[in-house]
Amino acid sequence: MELSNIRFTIIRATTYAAAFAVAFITGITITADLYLPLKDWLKLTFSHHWVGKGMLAIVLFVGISAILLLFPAPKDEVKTKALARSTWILVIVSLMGTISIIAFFIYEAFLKH
Amino acid sequence: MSTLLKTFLAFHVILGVAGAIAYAGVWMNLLKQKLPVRFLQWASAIGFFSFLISWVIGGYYYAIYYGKAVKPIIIKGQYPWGHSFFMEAKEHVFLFLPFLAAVMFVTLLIAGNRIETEAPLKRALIWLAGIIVVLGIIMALSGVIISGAVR
Repeated sequence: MELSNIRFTIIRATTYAAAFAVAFITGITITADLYLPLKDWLKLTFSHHWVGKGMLAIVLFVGISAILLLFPAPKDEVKTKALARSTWILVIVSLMGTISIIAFFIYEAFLKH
Repeated sequence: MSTLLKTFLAFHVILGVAGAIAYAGVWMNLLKQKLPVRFLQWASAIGFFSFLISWVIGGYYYAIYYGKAVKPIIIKGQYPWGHSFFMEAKEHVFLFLPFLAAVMFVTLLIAGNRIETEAPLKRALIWLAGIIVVLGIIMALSGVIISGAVR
């Protein structure tokens, strides 16, 4: 059974967009704790820094998905390999993001003072 | 705490655990040689929407009530790391889950019939499902520790 171009591009777009969103959440979480004006801006703009991080991640996810939908699909033979690659990238980014956030808050809570 | 917030907190926990259980079902069934595609699609849909609703109602409780009423008690109590480590890590790592679940849901919905015969994609999805389940369990256990730190 073939995977149509539109189906392929939807999966690829959401997978890469999710990887961007996860990387963004990791980056903004650590940066906002180290650079308080960013945390204050998130609070001021979104009522709560955590709400801001979530809202911006959604905007990024939708925006990047929409942009990536415009990229053409490859030949049928390599479609599922391309999807496996994008899924592995998401897996690796998620693992690195989780480890980074946990390590950062271990440092903040137990080692900083 | 108002009845609405108590209800939201209870459903945040119930739906979070339900999402993790649904993805545990996805994980275990992805390991099979013959994939039950309809089950995988339904389980990932249930898991995705559970995480999504859990995010919204848990977020409402967190933004409206936790910071003002619960966090100060934990910080001044015997276990301040209940907030400074467990809650801080939980609230941010939790944000990954709806995006990871969305990818799994979309992939199974759109390409569910292709996965069985495509070993590299199947292997990557098994890892993705495993991460979702492990993160879900970490979220639930962190919630238990945070609740314990209030007392």
